[in-house]
Amino acid sequence: MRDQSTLRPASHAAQSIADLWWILFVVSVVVFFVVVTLLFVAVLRRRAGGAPDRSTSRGATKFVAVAGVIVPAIVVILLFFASVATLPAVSPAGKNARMTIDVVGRQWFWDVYYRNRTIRTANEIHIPVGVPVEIRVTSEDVIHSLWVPRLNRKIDVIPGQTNAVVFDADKPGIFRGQCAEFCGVEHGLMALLVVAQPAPQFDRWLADQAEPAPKSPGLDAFVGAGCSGCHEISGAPRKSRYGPDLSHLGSRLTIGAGTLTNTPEHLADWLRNPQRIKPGNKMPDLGLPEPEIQALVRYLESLK
Amino acid sequence: MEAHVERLEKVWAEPAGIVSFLTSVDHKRIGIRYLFTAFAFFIAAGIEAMVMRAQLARPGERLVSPETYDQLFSLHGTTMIFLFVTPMLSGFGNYCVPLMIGARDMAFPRLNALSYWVFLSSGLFIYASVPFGLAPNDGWFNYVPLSDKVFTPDKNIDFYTLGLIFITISTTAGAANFIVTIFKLRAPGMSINRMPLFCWAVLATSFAVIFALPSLTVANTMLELERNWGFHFFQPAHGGDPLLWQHLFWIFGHPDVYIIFLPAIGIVSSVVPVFSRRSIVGYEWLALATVLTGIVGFGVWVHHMFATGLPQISMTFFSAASFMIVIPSGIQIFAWLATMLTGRPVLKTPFLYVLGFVVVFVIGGLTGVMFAAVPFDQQATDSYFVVAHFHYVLFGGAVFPIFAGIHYWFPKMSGRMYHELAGQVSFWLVFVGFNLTFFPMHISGLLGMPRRVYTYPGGLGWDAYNLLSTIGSGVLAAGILVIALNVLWSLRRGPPALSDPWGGNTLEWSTSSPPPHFNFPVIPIVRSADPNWDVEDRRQDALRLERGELLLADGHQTLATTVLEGEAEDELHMPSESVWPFVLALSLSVVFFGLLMKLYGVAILGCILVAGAIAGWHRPQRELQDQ
Repeated sequence: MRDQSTLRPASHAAQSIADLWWILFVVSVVVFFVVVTLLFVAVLRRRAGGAPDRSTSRGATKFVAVAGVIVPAIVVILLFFASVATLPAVSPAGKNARMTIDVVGRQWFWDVYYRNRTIRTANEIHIPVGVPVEIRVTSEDVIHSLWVPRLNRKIDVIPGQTNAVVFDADKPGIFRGQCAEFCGVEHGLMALLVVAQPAPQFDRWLADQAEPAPKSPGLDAFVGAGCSGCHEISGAPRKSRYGPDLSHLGSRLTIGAGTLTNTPEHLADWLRNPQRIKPGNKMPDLGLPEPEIQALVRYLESLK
Repeated sequence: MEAHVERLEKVWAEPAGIVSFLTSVDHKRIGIRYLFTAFAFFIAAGIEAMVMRAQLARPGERLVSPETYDQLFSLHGTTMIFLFVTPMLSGFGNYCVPLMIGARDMAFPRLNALSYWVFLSSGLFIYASVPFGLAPNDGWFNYVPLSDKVFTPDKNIDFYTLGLIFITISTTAGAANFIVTIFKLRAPGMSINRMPLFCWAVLATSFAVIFALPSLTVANTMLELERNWGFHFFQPAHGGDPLLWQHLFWIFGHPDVYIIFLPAIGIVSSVVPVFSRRSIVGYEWLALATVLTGIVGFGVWVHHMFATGLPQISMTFFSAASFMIVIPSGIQIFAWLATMLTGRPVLKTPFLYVLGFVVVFVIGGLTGVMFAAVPFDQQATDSYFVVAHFHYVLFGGAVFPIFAGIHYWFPKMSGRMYHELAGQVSFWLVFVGFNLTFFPMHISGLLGMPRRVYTYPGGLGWDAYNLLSTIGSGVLAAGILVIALNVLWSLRRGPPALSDPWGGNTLEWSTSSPPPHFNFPVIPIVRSADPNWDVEDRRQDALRLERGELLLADGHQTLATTVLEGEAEDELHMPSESVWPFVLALSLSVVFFGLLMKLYGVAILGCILVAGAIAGWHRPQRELQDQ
């Protein structure tokens, strides 16, 4: 279900690209078989060897002109127009987006903001089905590329520059994506999920995300273990945006930027040894005692 | 006649042993050295690739660490482009160009030796990073800001930037040498429209090198200044722009695809007529297509940047230019097909590799057309689809012809025949292994697998395709091993080769196998584009040798001719053996070592050594006197 195949489009944009692909594919198959057939005819038809034939053949030169220039010229002109015709479907311009989400690429997670950056989450983008949503992307470190193949083309995430892509899911579903521009050691495990929901569900989700985390003794454990040095929980005293926001971690489907499904066991594993699961990632092995880990897991999973 | 040849042998004799090894300027020895050295780097790159394929054989594999994986793919790409394919083709160019145009050496034999020694030094410089675990690790196109000091503080990237600046000295010197050689040293009568297509390809490539490489050098110099000297060309926080690197890199990088590809199709255009037993169809078309490819190749670099958020209008322009490149490729493919169709093909190993090239390259060309379509590019770029595409283009378009060339010129270079059955076995292993490795990558790419990931989760539909690729890479490696063993075995045990085992059409087949130091006892006179098929002309050469005409035996001499018509113009005296190119390359190594280690005193010492070596090089030498 959570695949990221370009050939199973879930939006008009992705569908347009897939259609373009099938046109390109069919033309390519035809050209390939023509060339290979000629090659077989050339190799298998004649007797081999002998003294060199030095004649110039007008017919052969004409063949080169027609098959090598005229036909390819016509084909590529047609393909060029097919390509240009697809361009509007994948461009953010003129899309009357009804909502904007800001996504910041970081080594190695996706920092996601709603409502002019008043709501923050990570590695999971919820969008309403059937509503064009503009995703504005920028980076605070190196170049990344946001790629959710079933929804749209990829868009590079470049420091000092804001790019945009539109996600307009035409059906509910969970669509996986991942970073497509090499961005350092954990580039391979920098994934995200896009959750397309019917509008009412989406509105409820957004309202939940806007709530500050409830006060609880777990928060003290969180601060005490030093987690708040990097991670933000809305309502917690100290704010650092170095690591992914954890305000509503319990509601998320995955942890570690799409690396593990979000279960208490996985979260405990992650807290015990993040460097074994994602070697080189920015979260150090903390060496926390087991009871503290269990307390943290209980607390974080309660943040729905 | 004997007396004439003896005299030439005396004039061109080289000292024996290690001295000769370090001082030789014979283009044939240098060419073969290029081939062996480049092949050694190819083996290294192949081992890197095999480790990567083992790591990706199944999801979640932990054979190597992410950092090691990043070094592997960065080193693999850098090696294949800069240390294998380009110098390998320089090797063929070095060996074949003077022989094909009836000259006795390259125009600047010492510069030629320098090109080789600098290539070797810069290759070793880059690979010196490996034992320290500091190999380049940000990919072969090394995007900023990842490659800035902030994100890659170690010397990995300094090895890359300095190593590439170093190697461009070699490539640029080589290109200038090829241009002058091809323009000025052709045999009398070899007007430019009778020049072998291989030389057209080398000529177009050399011009592309001259215009493309400065952009790479500028980019790397800027990055080195930014990393170690406090400059801010690429940092947005200081008013720089990371996309500047991408533009500079790809203004070099796309033409570089053709720098790699053009000499390879030159090999194809050499093999096709000989094994089809007919003159090539559409010679003028092919020559024109070669030049056109070299020029249009400079107008398409932005198609590497379609996902960076550029304005639609500029993308559309570069998209159109990228579609246009189909035309010269179409001319080439159909001219070769027409030659085969109207000829009588002989299925020997070199020709098999050419047939394999056509099949594989057509697939790579077609997926290349797909990437000219902006929306498809934006979807498939940086996925495994693009990995499949460029391996079809570069392995198919360059390495298959290289393998064809190895077998085709082996008898000329070694004086022995390779083992034909082993050659054919190697072809089938390489062809099947190649397709098994790289075809499934098209599918995994379309299924959304990005490139440069050290691992991937299961359940995304990628597992089987990755396993197939890994199995294929083993078959491919076996094929390459057979080639290497065949070469090594045949060098010792192969039956002696005739001067012209294939019935070749170009001049290298008119002299002995291997050729003497002076290539041709008498400078040949040419009257067609297939000079070695002009039996009467070659008989006239032999008669002139007996009469001692056009012998040019007063020192290292060759004939200069006019650029277009190839009319005899002047007798040139060429420099002979010299140790200075070797010393100069060594001195340059000292400079780059000093820059790498930030030992600026050492770098300055290196500069003084360089100046000294250049001075020694230019000290007038005494000519071998007539006795």
